Amino acid sequence: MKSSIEELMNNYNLLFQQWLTLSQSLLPPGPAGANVPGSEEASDVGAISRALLQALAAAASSSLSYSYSVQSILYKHQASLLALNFGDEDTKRRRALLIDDIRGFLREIGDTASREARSFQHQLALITEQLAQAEARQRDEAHK
Amino acid sequence: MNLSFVDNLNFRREVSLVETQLAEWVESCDKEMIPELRWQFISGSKYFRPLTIFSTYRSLIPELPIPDWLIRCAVVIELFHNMTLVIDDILDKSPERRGRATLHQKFGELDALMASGYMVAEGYRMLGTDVQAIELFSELMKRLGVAECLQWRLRRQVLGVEDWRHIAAEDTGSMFEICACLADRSGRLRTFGGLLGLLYHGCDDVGDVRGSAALGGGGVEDLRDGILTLPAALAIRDPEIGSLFSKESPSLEDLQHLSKAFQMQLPEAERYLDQVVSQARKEAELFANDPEPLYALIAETRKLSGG
Repeated sequence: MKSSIEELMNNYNLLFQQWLTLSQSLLPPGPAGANVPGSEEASDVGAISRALLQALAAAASSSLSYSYSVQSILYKHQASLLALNFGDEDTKRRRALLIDDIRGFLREIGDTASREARSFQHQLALITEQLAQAEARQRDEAHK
Repeated sequence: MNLSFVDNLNFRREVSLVETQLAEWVESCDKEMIPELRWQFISGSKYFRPLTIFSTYRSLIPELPIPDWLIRCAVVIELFHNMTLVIDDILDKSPERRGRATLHQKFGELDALMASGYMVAEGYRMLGTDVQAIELFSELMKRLGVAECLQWRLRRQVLGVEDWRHIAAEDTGSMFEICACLADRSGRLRTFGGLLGLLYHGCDDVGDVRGSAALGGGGVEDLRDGILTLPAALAIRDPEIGSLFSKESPSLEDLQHLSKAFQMQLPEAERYLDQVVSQARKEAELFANDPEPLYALIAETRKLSGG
């Protein structure tokens, strides 16, 4: 179990590193480079790089939030399932409670995954919109 | 108009407009239908569905007033809602609603059924060229039809809370989901609407068992017909209560026993509803630009259980 968690964390780490490298590669290189800070081109790549970094932060935050939510659901249902195991109620009642609880547990896991995905999608839409607006502003200024 | 709800949510002007437009519409209808429609639309509505539409809009665009096209959607949702009330009353054989004779009791079943069809047809006409709203109302009609059949087919069956949740989400939940989508055409508050409807349905169930008059109904019909309410779903986990619940013709003593068992489950039902509140608040927090109007709406809905 431990190794699979480590593997998962390593994959996350690798993914975030790649994303970070991509974002940094778009940053203005400074006075010695081709993109002089303050120039139109530098401002352009700055906005793109900022958007990618924001998306990276949103992805990381979404992953953490999902893990935390799933953990909370597990704890909540673990407690009730354990209580059922050690209760002295008759078998039929216990079985009915158990099945209802497991169905609730599985639904909540699904609901949480769907909510996190929608939330992440919403954040990405906001970032994309900001990027599009920055681009439109630049275009307008260039035409003045 | 129920002023406390409306004022707490700060939509008195908008709800007045809905009332006025409904009254004007009734008077513009065919003379044959006017008495029935007047009877059905005499004030007494809580306007919870229009309030859901307005609150959703305000949570997304707080700086703008409620536009005319949204007032029209609110009028249409009231027409569709009243259609469901008329059908429910016929099905439940309810003699009264909100302290007055039901439409079929006053005018007969034929008039009540025809009036309900008339309301839906007029609703679609009012939507004009708002194609997206027409799509949403069509979705609502289909889901409500399926939910009613499902709920009726599953009566007297020993099912779980998850089954109750599914039925409630398709019945009342679908109505509130559509309310949210009418105001938020992007659909990002759809799940919020569904959860609010689920909360409303659960509070209605609990309020009925508590004998609360807050929602204008009683739980007698549900008990008699073996409808799966939230307190029922919790109580029938007990095999003895489950076998009473599934009896085809329960005696008065059986019904009293069931009623008592349902009352015993009220604290657990309230806890369950509090979880739905948390889920609805989370949706509002994540997807609204200003969640405050939605928090207020949740709080007003939660009060309906009378707990």
